[in-house]
This record gives sequence, structure tokens and C-alpha cells, in this order.
Amino acid sequence: MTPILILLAALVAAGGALAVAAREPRLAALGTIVALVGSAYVADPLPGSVALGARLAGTVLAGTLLWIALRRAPATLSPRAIGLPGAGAIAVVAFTIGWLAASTLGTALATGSGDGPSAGAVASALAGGSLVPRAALAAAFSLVVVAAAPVILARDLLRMGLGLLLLIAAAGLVRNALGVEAGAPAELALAILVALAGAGVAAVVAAGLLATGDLALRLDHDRATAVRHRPADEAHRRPAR
Amino acid sequence: MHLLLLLVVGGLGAAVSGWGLARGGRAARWGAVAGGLALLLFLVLVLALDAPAVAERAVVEPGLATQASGGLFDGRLVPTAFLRLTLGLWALDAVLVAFIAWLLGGLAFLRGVLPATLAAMTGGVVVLASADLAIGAAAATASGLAALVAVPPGRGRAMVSVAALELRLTLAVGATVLAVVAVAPLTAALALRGAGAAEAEGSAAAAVTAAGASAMLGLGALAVTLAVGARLGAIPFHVRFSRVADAAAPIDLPLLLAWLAVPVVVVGLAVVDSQIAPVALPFAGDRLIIVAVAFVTLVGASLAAFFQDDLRHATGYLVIADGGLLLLGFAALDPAAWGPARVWLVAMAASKTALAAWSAVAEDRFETRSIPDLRGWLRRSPILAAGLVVTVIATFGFPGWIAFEARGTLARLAVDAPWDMLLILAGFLTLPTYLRLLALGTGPATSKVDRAAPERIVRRRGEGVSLLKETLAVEVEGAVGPEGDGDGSTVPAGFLRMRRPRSRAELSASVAGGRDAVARGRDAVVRGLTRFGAALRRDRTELLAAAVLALAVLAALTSWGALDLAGAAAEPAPTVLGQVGD
Repeated sequence: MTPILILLAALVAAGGALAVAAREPRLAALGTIVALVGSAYVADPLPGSVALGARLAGTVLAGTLLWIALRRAPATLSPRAIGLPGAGAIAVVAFTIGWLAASTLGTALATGSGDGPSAGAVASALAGGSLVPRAALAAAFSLVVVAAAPVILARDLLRMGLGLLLLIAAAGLVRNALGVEAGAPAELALAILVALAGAGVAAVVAAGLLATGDLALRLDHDRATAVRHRPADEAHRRPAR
Repeated sequence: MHLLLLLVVGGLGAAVSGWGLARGGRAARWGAVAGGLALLLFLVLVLALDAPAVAERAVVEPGLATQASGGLFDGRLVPTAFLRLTLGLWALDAVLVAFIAWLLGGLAFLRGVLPATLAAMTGGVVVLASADLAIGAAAATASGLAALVAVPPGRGRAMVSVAALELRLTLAVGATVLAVVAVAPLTAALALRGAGAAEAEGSAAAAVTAAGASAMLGLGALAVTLAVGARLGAIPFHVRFSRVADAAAPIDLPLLLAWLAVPVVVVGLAVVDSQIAPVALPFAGDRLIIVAVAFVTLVGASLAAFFQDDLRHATGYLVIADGGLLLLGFAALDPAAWGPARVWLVAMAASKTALAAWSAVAEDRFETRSIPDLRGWLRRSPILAAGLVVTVIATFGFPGWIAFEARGTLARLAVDAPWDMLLILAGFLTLPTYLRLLALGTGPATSKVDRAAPERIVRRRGEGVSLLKETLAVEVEGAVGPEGDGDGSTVPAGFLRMRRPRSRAELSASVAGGRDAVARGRDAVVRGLTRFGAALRRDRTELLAAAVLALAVLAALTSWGALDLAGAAAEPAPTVLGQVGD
């Protein structure tokens, strides 16, 4: 099972790179869906079937809404400076760094001693030397790195939205890696959040396409309605009687 | 079960009202009615919630809230006194704000605020009842998405960009808090264990591990605080407030600027209080950064509010400045800051709701958002003026009031003397802006103020009937059978149809007549409601001012400490108890 989950983690990272760098909108959405679906399963031990089903349902709902919102999308998105190979390279490097960091953390957890609360109880799989949490942390790090630019710079509605969904997936992966005992209600809450976040991204993308016909995020909106500073005596004075 | 009912009422109300109001026409009217009823039902359910203090419950059930009555999901969601008070106040405010929105712009203004408020309150229920930080963080993020309902992206280009920025803020903050919730227990454990090993064995590697983990934990605290600060609009995240104020309808601002931050602040405080503060590490550098951000926010936003000539922007900066005080609760990194921070959070939300409502009503009344153009407003609007004065009192309070005491406590816990005095003084820097607004109102009236509708109810001759009489008159008129029995009598038609039919033909006629009677009755109710609404709209100027005053009085009661808000705010959250229990 472990090799499959590690491959899945790599697939999640690849999905993240595809989401932020693909030229075709639906290809980018597909990358995000892959990352979201896969992120729920890279865990050791795997959550219960109810939890996994809830996460899958939430992701499918989010993906469907996103897919529908892209009906009117232009055939290609504006090109990114780094392109797909560049994004892939960044994802690979980030995945490697994340893996090494997770290995260091696992070693510290395994060899540490002394008084204090048991960290192993928090991240038992990582401390036990399992490779799955390392892969999960690596994938999380990779998603955060590739999603950072489209979220912070925010020039494209779709890429920004997909980047945000990748950040949510990354947070879920960190939870999986550190073996936080979630339980079905927490997984259900995360599933609802993913579905609502997907709906939010879909709504913004669809509205952007409707309003301007493209996916560019324009922050230089008309602020003529705002009142600019002016001296008080410029206000309408009461006419002298 | 009670909690489940709250979630169902809030969720269904949001969905139905959002759907109906977005469709327009008759669906919009029914959507508004459904939303209003859901809001009222939500209020009643919250106030009737059986929520003993969490501490009391812990004494009875040391295994905690897991067995508590009214809990959901094996005690992962439990009702608390703080939940009851906070959501009760939020619902009361929401009822008044929805009333103001309807008077200001009819169904068009309700389209955003009504479903968004219901959705956010539903998320708020989960956040405040959550015994699991991950559930709380996810719910806080989801309730933040209600901003997209209040600022629907489908209303033009400017709205798209504002909605996109709100989406980015909400999801980025949510992802940050979720990640810190997962990482903090591990780093806390590593820091404590490493420090213990370094002290016992003198191991350099353990000391390095402890230092690294400690730094990570400090960064976690900083990340949560900055995420909450971004939601509150703290400097340097303040630019968003101006964009929102420009794009949204003014009556959406109480929700967008004040209440939507409540869930995420509650979760942020719970993360710091349950996972980071108990470690009792100094975190001097991180605390210094948080205090610096809070101080710059307090001073910068107060100055910006004073020099702003745009009423909406000034309101936004006043909200930001008060939010700066909340950051001091994070800077303290002390469980003692838990209670005062939550007190200030609720008091701030209530007082800023009143302020934003005042601003919306003033803008509508005088048809300007330019502050210089409002000169003389106070003379023409005594009730509105009373609303602003009470809002100022609610904002600052008096010695002995819980909001006033919370200011001082937060400053003292964040920094040592004498620097705490500087923070306390910075917290009062918004006072000149309020005084400016009041002083401006006493000057000679501008032409805009001059031509504004008077605040008093003025009835023309023949209109001197009460609202109730008008409504009843319409209902009776609609229920009277115009055909009667052919003798011109005015016996209600429904009564006539209750006679026993004599033949088949008469039976079918009777059924058809019954349908007619029902239709007439329904029309009568609709006409009655319409005329009732028209009568309310006729007196809208005075009613709007009275609603603002009511919001301000609610805020003042909160600031004073009615219903033992301080006690409820100081009780441990279910999340904190859950951690202890584990």
C-alpha cells in the first residue's frame, strides 16, 4: 500500500503544478481536482470509509461546479512566465525539500527523549518511520510553493482560485502527515469546506467571465464613487438669508 | 438536537432566501419572508438554548462535554453560554439590520444581507459549539465565504474583483489556521521535550531541536495572529476595507466589517489559548511584532478615520482601529487574555454594527457620503444623533463596564508598564473622529441636510389611523363576500360557504366558492401586508433612526456586561476542554 500512496502523493504534487501552469482552463481545473482528491488519501493509517467518502463527495462537487463555470472560458489562459516545465521543476524541488524536512522531523521524533508530552502520540506514523507521512508533507510543501505565486500576485481569477483550493488541500495533507486524529465529523467539516470553497471559486470565475469575457483580475476598479479629501468650506453652505 | 435545529433553520433560511431573492419578482417576496421568519426562529431557538456554563458541565462530567446534553457528533459540537449570548446578540442585530435594509432599499437591499447573515450565523453556531479545533477552523472559513453572498460577484466588474479578494482572504486565512492547528501540538511537544532533554542530559542536539521547535511554534502564533489581523483589516491588510466599502451596499457593511470576523477570531483565540499559550515559552520576538502591528493599527487607523472625508471609509477605519485591540489578546499569549479578548470581540461587533448602520442611514437620508456635506445633520436628526452618541458610549464604555475593563486588561497583558498606558491611550484615539462627526452635526446645515426628509412622522389630514387599523381594514375588506346572499349584506364569504350543500351542483359550486374564498383570503393577506409595508415606508425616516438607536442600545448593554457576558466569555471553550480532556 505504501508505494501506491507515495505515488499518489507525487501525483498530487504534479496536479498542483498542472493547476497553476496549464494553458487550457479545464486542464488546470483537472490538475486541481486530482490534487484535491488525492490529498484525502495520502494518510497512514487511512481514515474510515465514511470520512473518505465525504471527502470524495466534497471534492467531486467542487470539481463539478468548477467544470461548469468554465463553459464560457477562453480556450487558453494568459501564459505564465515559468510555463509548465518550470512549474513542474519547482514542484519537484519543493517535493524533495519537503521530503527531506519530513525525514529530519521524523528522525527528531524517533530519537528525542526527555520529559514532556509525547510528540509521538501526535505524529506516531512519522515517528515510526512510515514513508507515507513524509510523502504527505512533501506533497503539502510542493502545493504551497506552486500555489503561492498565483495567490499572492493574483492576476488571474482562475489561477488564483485554483491556488486557494491547493492551499486547502495542502492544509489537509499536513493534518494527514502529522497523524492528527480527525474522525468522521472533522473530515465531514473539511469536505463541506472544500465543496463550499469550490463553489466560491466557481462563482467568482463565472461572474468574471460574464462581466468581462476573460479571467483577468482587475484591481484598478472605478473608485470615482469614493469621496476625496477637500476643505470643509467647499461643502454646500447654507445660503445667506 | 437543539443545535441541529439551529443549523437546519439557519441553513435552510439562507438557501431559500438566497434563492428567492436572487430570482426576483414574487419569488423574491417569498424568499424575503422565509428569510425573515428563519431569522426570527433562529433568534428564538438561540435564546431558548439550554447551555449551562462549560465549566459547570466539566465538574459534573469530568470526561467532558462528550456527554453533554444537546451535543452533536458525540459531543464534538456542544452548546455553550457564550454561544447563546453571542449568537443571540448577532441574531437580534441581524433582525434590526434586515429591517433597516428593507426600509432603505426594499428587496434589492435584502438580497445580499439576509442570506449572507443566515449563512454566516449557521457557520458561527458550528464554530462556537465546536470541541474540535479542525471543525472550528473549517467552519470559520466556511462562514467567511458568506461574504460572497453579501458581495455577489455577478453584479459587475468592481464586484468581481472585490469578491475575488474576499475569497482569497477567506481561504488563505482558513488554510493557515488549519495548518497551524495541525502543526502546533507537534512543535509544542518537541519544544518541551527538547528543552527537558537539554537540561537533563546537556545534549546540544536536543537544545537545537527545542530552539527550532520553539521558533516554529512562535511562527505558528504569528501566522494565526496575522491571519486574524488580515480578516480584521489590521494595517497592512487594511486596503481591502476601502474596496469593500466602495463596492458593497452600505447596509452590508455591519456583516462584512464586524460580524464576519467573529468566527475566525474565536477559533484563532482558541488555537493560541489551547495549543500555544500553555507551553509558556517567552516568544519575545513574535509578541513584539504582534504588539507593533496592533499599535500601528490603532494609531494609523484612528488617524485615517479622522482625516477621511468619506463616511464609509471613515467607518471602515474606525472598525479597523477597534480590531487592533483584539490583536493585543493574541500578543499576550496568556490564557488570562482569553476572557477579555472575547468580551472585546463581541462588544466591538455590536458597537460597530450600530456605527455602520448609522453610517448607512445617514448616507441614505442626506444622499451623500461626504462628511463635510453632513454639516448640521445632528440638528435635523435628534434620534439618529442619539444613536451615534449611544454608539460612542458603547465603544468606549465607562469604568466598571466590561468593554472598558477589557481594553485595560488586554493592554496590561500584552506589554509591561509603562508601555501599557501607551496602548490604552492609543485605543482611545478614535474618540476625536466621533467628536468630529458630532461637532460637525451642530454646525449650520448644508443644502443636502436642509432638503433631507424630516425625522418626525408627519401625517397628512385623513391619514391619522394606526398601522394596525390600516392592516385590519384591508383584511376585513378582503374577507367580505361581495355577492353575499344577494341582499347586500356584508357577511364574510367564508362563513356563507360553510352551509351544508343541498345538491351535487350546489356541492361543486360550494367547492369552487371555497377555493375562491381561500384565494380572496390570501389576496387579502397579501394586500394587508403590502399596505402595512407601505405604511412602514411612509414613516421610514423615523423608523430608521429608531432602529439605529435600538442597535446602539443593544451595543451599550453588551458593553456594560448585560446577561453576564463577561462570565460567558471567560469560560473555557469546548475546544480547550477537549484538549485538557485528551
